[in-house]
Amino acid sequence: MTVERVPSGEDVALVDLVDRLIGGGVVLTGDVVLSLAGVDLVYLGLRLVLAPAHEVGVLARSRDSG
Amino acid sequence: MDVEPATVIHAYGIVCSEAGFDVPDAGIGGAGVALLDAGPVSGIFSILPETAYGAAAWTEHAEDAAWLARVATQHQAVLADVVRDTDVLPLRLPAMYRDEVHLHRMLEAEAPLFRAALESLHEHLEWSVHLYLVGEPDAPAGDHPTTGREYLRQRAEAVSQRHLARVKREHSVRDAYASLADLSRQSVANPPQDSALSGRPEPMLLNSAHLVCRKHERLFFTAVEETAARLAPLGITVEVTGPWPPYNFVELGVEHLESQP
Repeated sequence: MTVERVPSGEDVALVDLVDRLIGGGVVLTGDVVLSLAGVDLVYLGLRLVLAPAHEVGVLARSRDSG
Repeated sequence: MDVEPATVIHAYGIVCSEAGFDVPDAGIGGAGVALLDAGPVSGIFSILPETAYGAAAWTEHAEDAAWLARVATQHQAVLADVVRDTDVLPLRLPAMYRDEVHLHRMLEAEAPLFRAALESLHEHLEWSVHLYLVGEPDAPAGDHPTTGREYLRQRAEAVSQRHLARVKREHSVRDAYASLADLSRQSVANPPQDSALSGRPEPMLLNSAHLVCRKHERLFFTAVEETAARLAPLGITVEVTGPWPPYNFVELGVEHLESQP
């Protein structure tokens, strides 16, 4: 029995990285600041990183509705 | 007078100042990576061109998946290098400073908080465990039904077999999580990743993160192998990613007061 081990630097782990960048880590508001809306857009953008094209509209709509 | 192109600081993470490690060669956009000593803690940072990575660039690329994927991957690559050698607090994107003076001021102001977080995570790494349902075990083929009643009986039996299999699977997934959590200092079960995002068609049954002491790593991986062996007959495969800096186990929010309007 072998377990698939994916190093954290590999492309395969990108979805894991996105999970982490949205959900964890130290949040520092630097002194060069994006507006809150800008930061929300970045998080939305990160969610889209791996989404196939047809999913983009769905996610964008879910943002608009809440 | 000002002939230097405008730059911005990107901070990757925070380490104890006395930690010994090799500073990675290249960060975002191939820029050099450096260490800024602020007493008990140091910041890992790059100096980047403002036109490419300043606030305007982030805003412009906020929904540009390819740009974000590249920046996020390069941010992580620096942290992945560092975390192999020493404890590091990972920063969430984007973390930008005007110059070293401003980054230094922030590090100095929050040093006790960062230092305490680094000490509590000392020698611990984060690992991700994913369980996927890759196949239902085959139901034993019964005799070909000769009557309608026999057909209905076999069908009802098949339904109840599938239900039992599902219950057994759920128990096994919970047991698997619990046995790995036993070997971890802290564990968290995050929502399973959407297959639209992960690009994997199989349903994800578990998406957990575990904070594991470096010296218990082999023990943890032995347990993962054992878990995989137990779950294989149920059609479940195990995937591990990492090591990660402890993203799931540091949730510090630090507001830079100067930035408040």
